[in-house]
Amino acid sequence: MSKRKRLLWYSVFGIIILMQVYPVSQPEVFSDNPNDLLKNVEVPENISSMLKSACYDCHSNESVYPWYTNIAPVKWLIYRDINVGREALNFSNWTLLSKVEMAGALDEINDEVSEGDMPMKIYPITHPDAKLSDEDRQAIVDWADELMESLFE
Amino acid sequence: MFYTIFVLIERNHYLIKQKLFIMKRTIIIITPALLFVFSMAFMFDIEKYEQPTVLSSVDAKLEMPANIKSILDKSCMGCHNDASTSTKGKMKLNFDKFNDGKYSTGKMIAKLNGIIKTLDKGKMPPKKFLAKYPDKALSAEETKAVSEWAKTQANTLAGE
Repeated sequence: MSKRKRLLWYSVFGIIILMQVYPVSQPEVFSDNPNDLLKNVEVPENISSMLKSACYDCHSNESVYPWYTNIAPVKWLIYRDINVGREALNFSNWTLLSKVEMAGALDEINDEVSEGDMPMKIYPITHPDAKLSDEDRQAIVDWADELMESLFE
Repeated sequence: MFYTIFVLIERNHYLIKQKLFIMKRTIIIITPALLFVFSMAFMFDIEKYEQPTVLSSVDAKLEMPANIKSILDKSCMGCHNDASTSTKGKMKLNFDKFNDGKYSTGKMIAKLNGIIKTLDKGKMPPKKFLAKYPDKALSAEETKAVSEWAKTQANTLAGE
């Protein structure tokens, strides 16, 4: 190996190690969520299991972190996605929302799920349970619409 | 034997060089082509928005002061109506559906909440649209007025 090549490899490894050391904080996980949607609203079994497997990793306080999510640069992207996801909609804080906000959230669920924008395309690659068929999507949309109407009866 | 290996390596080297050359050439040709296609798509996207219509009336359950109506007509109705060519804009929010009963009460509240959130984040009107129609931008006061109007209407509809 020539001197230049060796230098190149050293710098590549050095950068990778520096990337691991660069401090980013993992979004916190809370297991006790008294305000959670599934604890306060009666959700059909098929829907709740889909929400759990396809949404809760980013849209709740109960994120699960597989090993590869703690390696940079993957972790930067995933931590950011979880922060953004929780900010947009956090099922763990469901009952803290006003009725108006709940309606808004359910309408957004409808849009995102029916358009295929959520779950993000990359997510089911490592989470096969999160793959939603057209019928699954329709079931979620119908459930969201129904829950939204029931808020204002 | 060494000679054969040497020849093989040399040949391989030559082939790799040739491949690299072809790759380089392809990249050089493809990059401008892709850039061109993207820029065309970008321009086409802007064209889609051009469809100014006027908000005729809204649901009796909604109160719509004249100043709010004129702001919505100016900055929102280009896309958020039945005749819009922006499929996405129409799907996310359609003011005509407030009027013809296609939005249930829950949906109306949800859409009003969506207006508040979108305006808070400064996401509407889209930047691309404003690049073409700078006069359709919302001022800070206009944003605040629409946002407060939507809040009041949503709360009234929700009975809160």
